[in-house]
Formats: sequence, C-alpha cells, structure tokens
Amino acid sequence: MLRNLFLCKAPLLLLIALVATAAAQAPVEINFGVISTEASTNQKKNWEPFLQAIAKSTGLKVNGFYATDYAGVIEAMRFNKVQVAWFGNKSGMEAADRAGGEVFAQIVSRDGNTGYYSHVIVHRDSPFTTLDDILKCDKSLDFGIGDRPSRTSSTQS
Amino acid sequence: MSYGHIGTEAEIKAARDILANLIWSPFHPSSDDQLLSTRKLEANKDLLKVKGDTKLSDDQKAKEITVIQAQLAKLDELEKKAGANPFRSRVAAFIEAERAGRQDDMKRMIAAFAAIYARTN
Repeated sequence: MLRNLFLCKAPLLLLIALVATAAAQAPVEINFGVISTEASTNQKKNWEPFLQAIAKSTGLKVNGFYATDYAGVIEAMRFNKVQVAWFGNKSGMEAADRAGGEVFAQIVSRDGNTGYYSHVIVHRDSPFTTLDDILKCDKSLDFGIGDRPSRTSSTQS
Repeated sequence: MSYGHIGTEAEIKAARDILANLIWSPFHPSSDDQLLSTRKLEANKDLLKVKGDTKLSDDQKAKEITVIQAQLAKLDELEKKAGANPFRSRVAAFIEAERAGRQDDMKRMIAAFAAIYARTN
C-alpha cells in the first residue's frame, strides 16, 4: 500500500496559434501540430476526425503534423510550417516566446477538469508523512520521476 | 470554440464523441495569461539552480538571484493584472453559459472572443 503525500494542481494543456503569417490573404491550408505522446498511428486515428471537423467548419485544408518531440513542433511553428498546435504549458510557453505563438484555447479534459494533480508517493513504512518532510531533506533522498524533455508534468515537479 | 458547444443536438453529440476520443471536452477560451504559472515555476527552478550552483562566486550568485527575483516579482505583478483583466471574467461567464447550455449566449461570446484575437494579431 502506498500513500499519497500531496496533490499539486497543474494547468492543463492548451492550443496555440501562430500570431501572424506573412501573407496578407487568408490561407487555404494549415498544418496542425500534434506531439506524439503515444504511437503515432494510434494518435492519428483519434486526431484525424477532429482535424477534419476543423477543415469542415473553416473551409481550410487541415494537415496533421505529428512530431515525436516538443522541439519539433515549436521549430515548425517558428518557421511557419505549423500554424496551429496542441502543446503542454511548458512547450506552449516556448512556442509563445520563440515561435510567435499565442494561446487561444484551453483544453478541458473529458471529465470537465482544466488541471490535473501530481502525486508524490512513498512506501507505507516510509518515515515521511508530509511534503515538508521530503522538502527539507536536501540531497539526502533519491527522487524517481518520469523523464521526458520539456514535459511539464515531470521536469517541473 | 463553438465545436461541441453550438449546433443541433446531433452535431454537438458528434463533436463531443470526437473530443472524447482525445479524452477532451469542448474547449475554453484562453490567452497567454495561462502561461504565467508555468513561467513562475520555471523562474523558481532557475532560482534553485543558481542557489545550488557551487561554481558561482558569492557575488555572481547574489547578482543572478537578484535578477531572477525581479523576474518573479514581475510575474506576480502580471498575475495580479491578469486577475483583474476583464478577459478572465468573460471566460468565467462563458463557462457559466456552457454549464447552463445557453447556446445563444455562447455564440455571442465566441464572436466577441474572436474579435479580441483578431485585434491582438
């Protein structure tokens, strides 16, 4: 049995649009950036109907741009290869700072939440019972955490 | 923004089914202010890094700490401003209209949000 030490609410993901494109006329085609957090065939299956819905309501041709890392989508936005994209908050921050992006929509999860909780879990026999117990123990503890570059939910915990 | 919010019952259901596959519900309007809490986390991370950096001289350390603390103070200021920004109450009003399923109100609000985005571009 493991215990939860604390919960910390992080804001959920967002959609970002490139602020300005050089062309003055309306685009006829856009590329929508998606970070492949799972096998891209799986992801494509779920994303394509959504992208087609955007195409239908805007009259634009919408292409999915599936990249395996955050940097790929940020760079693509910087060079106008991607005009709209789905980001986490950390990668979204970089897209806003470096790629001319602007946040316009917040993703709401299926259950209606706009954030999620992080859990710190210790063994049932652990001496640590509060968050302060582990925070004051500087460098004497090993902390296991998911490692994925720029992943808001792990690198910033 | 109108996706899954506005339309006939069948249209809304179809949209929500597609969003459900992405583990989502219909979107809420947002702005760059959403990034402020992440910016604060980043600045705090930088602060801890500088504080724990054994290669920096005390002088350098103090200097860098001052810079980051100024950043943090500025972010606090921006957060306060964002809290007072009418955009935030408009988003809250939108979410209320969403809960009540008031399509006409949402339609009007979405048009107003679109105008805001068009202006910033």
